[in-house]
Amino acid sequence: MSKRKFIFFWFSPKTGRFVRPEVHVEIGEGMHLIEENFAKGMNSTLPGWATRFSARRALATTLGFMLIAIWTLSLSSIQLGWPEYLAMSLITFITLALLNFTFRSIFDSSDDHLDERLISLRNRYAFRSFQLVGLFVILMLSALNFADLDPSRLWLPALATYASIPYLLLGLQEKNFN
Amino acid sequence: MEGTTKKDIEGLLKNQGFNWLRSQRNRRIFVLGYALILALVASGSYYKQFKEWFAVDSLIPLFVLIAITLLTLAGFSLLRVSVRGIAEAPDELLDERQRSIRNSNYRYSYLLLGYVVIVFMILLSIAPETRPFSEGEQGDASFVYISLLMTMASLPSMVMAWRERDI
Repeated sequence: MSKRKFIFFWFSPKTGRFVRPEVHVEIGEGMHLIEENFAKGMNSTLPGWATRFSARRALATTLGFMLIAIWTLSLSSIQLGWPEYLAMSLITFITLALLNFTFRSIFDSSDDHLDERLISLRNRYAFRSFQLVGLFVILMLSALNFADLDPSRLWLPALATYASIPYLLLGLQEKNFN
Repeated sequence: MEGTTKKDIEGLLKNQGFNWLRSQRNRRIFVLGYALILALVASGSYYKQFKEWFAVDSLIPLFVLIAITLLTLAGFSLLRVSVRGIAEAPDELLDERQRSIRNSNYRYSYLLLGYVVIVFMILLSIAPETRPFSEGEQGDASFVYISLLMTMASLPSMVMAWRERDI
């Protein structure tokens, strides 16, 4: 792996540090876990609802439906008023923000804020997200071939999809994250 | 999903040729050159004369078109060779270290993809046509689309070729 620091300019909302779960193991007269430290280390700082897979999956599903709705509107000739667009944008933004919160902004955090397990988790989902976005771009280009679209209407869905996909996949697939 | 085969990846992982592509400096020069080729391909959508020139009944535009296509495909193939196809290989063909390298580069690729999407949207806004293969006089956006697809396919390999010292 490269030893040089790779400089990349990117917005990261992460300001705090993660509480890293630590398991202390004594090696000697038989290995045993120090239960007190283990329980303390595994305590999550997130609220209860945010650690439940079902809640995260519900958020991810809502976000998925919102993205589908935004894309459908953008690719069709339907014209909505600004209150409808504002409401859709707000729901999408709030859902994404909640999902982001439940995953502690893992995807936007630099290596310094994560331990090895979280780095591995983040990178694994980056791989899947890139593949999904690639597939999505191909679908979009094939749609553009047949439709006479106004490119200005594609900004919101394109950027919303790009920002959402890593958290969407995490929310739908990652069961053990607290 | 990865668009590659086991034989292809195993061949690339054991490849002993193309020694000039093994040093990081050469790989970086190669990545810059390839990025330039993709930018030139995309610029084809913005020259009406370019499209008209291709329509001329002559062999020269045809040869130029074939040369551009071959150059792009050769660049893509050499880029894959330079990173031994790791960027496209599925989990089962890589060891733990290679998987870790691949995934960490995908993170940077995804971040870069954000910039690519923004640039693409800007280009699309000022492109003469949004339809890729239109017959209009203004030219079309097909060169931008081809360039975008090649960029999407190459980006992980480009990032890996740029970042990694030893592959």
